[in-house]
Amino acid sequence: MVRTTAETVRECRFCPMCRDTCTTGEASTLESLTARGFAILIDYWQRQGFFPPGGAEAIYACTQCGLCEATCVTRHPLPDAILTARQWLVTNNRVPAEVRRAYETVSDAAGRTKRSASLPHKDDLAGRGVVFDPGGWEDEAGAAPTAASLQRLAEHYGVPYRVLEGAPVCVHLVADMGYQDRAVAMAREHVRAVAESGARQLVTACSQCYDTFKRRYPAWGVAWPEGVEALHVAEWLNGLAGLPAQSTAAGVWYYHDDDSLARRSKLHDAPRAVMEKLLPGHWQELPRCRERAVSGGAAGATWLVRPDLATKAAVRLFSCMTDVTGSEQELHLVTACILSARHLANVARTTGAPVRVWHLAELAVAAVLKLGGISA
Amino acid sequence: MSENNTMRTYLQPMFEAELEQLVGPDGFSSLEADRLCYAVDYYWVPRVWLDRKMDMPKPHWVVMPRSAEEVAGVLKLANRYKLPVTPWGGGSGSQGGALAANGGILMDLKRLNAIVRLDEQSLTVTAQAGIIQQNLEEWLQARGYSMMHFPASIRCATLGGYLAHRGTGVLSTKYGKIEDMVLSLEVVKPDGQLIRTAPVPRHAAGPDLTQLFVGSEGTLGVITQATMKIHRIPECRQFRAFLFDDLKHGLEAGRRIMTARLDPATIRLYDPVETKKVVKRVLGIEVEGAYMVLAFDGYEEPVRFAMRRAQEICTGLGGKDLGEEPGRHWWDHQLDFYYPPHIMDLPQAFGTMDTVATFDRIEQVYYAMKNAVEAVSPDITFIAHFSHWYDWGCMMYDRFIVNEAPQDAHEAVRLYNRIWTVGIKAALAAGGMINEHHGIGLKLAPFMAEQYGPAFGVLSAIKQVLDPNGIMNPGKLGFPFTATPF
Repeated sequence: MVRTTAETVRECRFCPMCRDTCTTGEASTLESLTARGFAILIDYWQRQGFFPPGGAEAIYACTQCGLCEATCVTRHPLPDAILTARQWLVTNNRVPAEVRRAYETVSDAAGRTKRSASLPHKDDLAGRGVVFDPGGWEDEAGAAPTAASLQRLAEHYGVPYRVLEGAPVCVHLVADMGYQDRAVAMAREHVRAVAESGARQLVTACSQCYDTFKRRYPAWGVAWPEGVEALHVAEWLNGLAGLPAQSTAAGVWYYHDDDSLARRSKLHDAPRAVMEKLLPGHWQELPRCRERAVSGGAAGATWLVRPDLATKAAVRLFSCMTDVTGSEQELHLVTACILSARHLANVARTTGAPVRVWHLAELAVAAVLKLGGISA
Repeated sequence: MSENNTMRTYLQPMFEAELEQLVGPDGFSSLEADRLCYAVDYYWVPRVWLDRKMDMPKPHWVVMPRSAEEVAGVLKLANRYKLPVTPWGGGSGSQGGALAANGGILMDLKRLNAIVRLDEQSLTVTAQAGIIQQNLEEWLQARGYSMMHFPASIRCATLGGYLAHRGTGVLSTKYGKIEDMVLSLEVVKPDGQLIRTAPVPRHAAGPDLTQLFVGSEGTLGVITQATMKIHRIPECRQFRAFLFDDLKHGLEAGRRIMTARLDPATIRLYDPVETKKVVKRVLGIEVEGAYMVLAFDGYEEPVRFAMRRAQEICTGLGGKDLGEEPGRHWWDHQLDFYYPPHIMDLPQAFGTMDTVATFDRIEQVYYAMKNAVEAVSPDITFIAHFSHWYDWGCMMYDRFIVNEAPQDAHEAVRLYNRIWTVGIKAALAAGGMINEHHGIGLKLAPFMAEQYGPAFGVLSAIKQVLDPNGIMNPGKLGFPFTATPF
């Protein structure tokens, strides 16, 4: 049964049972920024026809991590209700200024995939090989190194490939900010570029993109190109034969389920299989993992709109590691989402957290090409 | 310009400037959205006000201190301006105890969420009051310990909230209520002075100051830190479920288990109505009669022995042994009862009266309340389970439900209050006490003087000495509404 926004918030607006998991609630400790607070504010909007002062800003603080829904016994789709509220704010021109600025940055400044200049590029796929869609709109900080990792792996394994060019990226960010029409238009453009790539498989290093292709595109009526399989990079890596085990890995290694893989796509096993191939018996689960994994704050455009909250969420995730192992040992955190890896690495750098963050593809390429950083 | 306007014009900006100095610009908010979200807790009345688009009392400022020193600074400031201060933990209270009914400062304590010290020799943990219990419990369990405090609100309520309202969990029959688990407290008095109670297991140096602040609902000060007992995670925990033909035999079985000192971790006995309606709906267990879940934990041998003796008692009283699985199923799904749509919610009117009595009176308290409450209107259902047991009596978690509350908010609240009043009066007349672990808050405040008699004067005198300006959580625990904002 599909619940309406009104039904969703009416049933859950007073319930605080997901408070210990709510990412913004934990980061802010402010009641209006908990799942229950969002529900109260949406309920107010539904009844009064507008948000109270401060309400729109609160609605944009939600990370869309999905933990409230995942931990709710009756799976109330509150994140969807929050998205609906954001769409209403966009439609009615009531978006907070910082959101509009973030939207402009994402949709205009760097919203297209680019070729990595330093690496060879193969164009003659003709219905075979893969097209890499590394995701990430800020190339120099995130997408380029991961794209390079993927290309190096493809080279190593002799897989025909190319990098998706000229297509919109981060459709999910635009959608998460409530700009639904723009997101759908971008999705259509993206699908055209995928079809024109001539590849048999599209491999994305971004969990949020993967979820968007798999779940949101069909919901938006955007047809995925026939004959092209969308794979998450963890699935693709898991299919590569002979990933070399790193038996002398130094430090303590954790795998972090990012929000999209953990709760939207529920893709838990493939990244773990890759971790086990690369670091057999030498990595561990975080205290809360899989569907209940603590969010690092990289989803829902919060890291653009409320970087303070996204930073606190990442610090909380790091503290889950140091809580268990202490901060004396070398700590490594591996995640399979490019935005997550980028955000977490930034926070580790700026806060001085004793954690090295890896994207799963970077870990794989470091192992395959013996680039260092894994062993003592 | 009226006097009120003058004060608002001149005093409010001065106060806000001083507040900002104390807690920083991100340490407080006066945004309408924030104030609205603190105007509703788990008390039914504000939910109705909100639902019916009524104007609701809201705090003027939400303040989020980061340390006991900041709490102290805010209390000194509030005293100077004679502003009400209402502490807020998780906002999961059902009696309105955390509502800023008189406006003023709402003090959200969740930034005080550090775990300060684990003492593995004495088996204690010291934590700040704003930590959510689930987070503390998970931290302890990762180290092989547990506080053994598992209330329905574990995922949202704070340690300080439990202490301030005398909370209890599903294993209380063995491990005690929160007041049995606490060793010592750090408290900021209303005048801003920070005090610590004696950090010892027991003493004979006069009255126990720790227990003075436990259950004080923020009316005598703000609890900022507590040292709590912890336990090693037991070797085993065994469950069993039984079905009795009627409540009487179930109650008698529970009494015999307790007075035999078998030390169960849980006895949970549902009356026939709750068995039929709630147990079936939430757990999918379809039985008729009085359903009982029993649990023992500890070392395997004594647990097996105690469970066998308890089985003999239950079956000897006609209880049908349903085996281990339904008992374990209840344990695994104990929180499901409290999620929507299983939890009671609007459009229903509902209240948890939560009564405690000695064994010789508990059954008569149950029937006295049931008869009185159901006599108010044929639309009312009275349900109960008996979930916290002592060597000399037990607690009854009794609730009334009206399926469709009147649409008119005032009419709805009138009906709600009428049901409460007849229920409480029936409980007191039959020898019960209101209540066991939900606290007094706004809801039960008018009954405190009646319940305590002249002894309430002692509480009032303590309040007067500690909080002469009446700034701390006015209107709660039976104390008057005194301090009012500008």
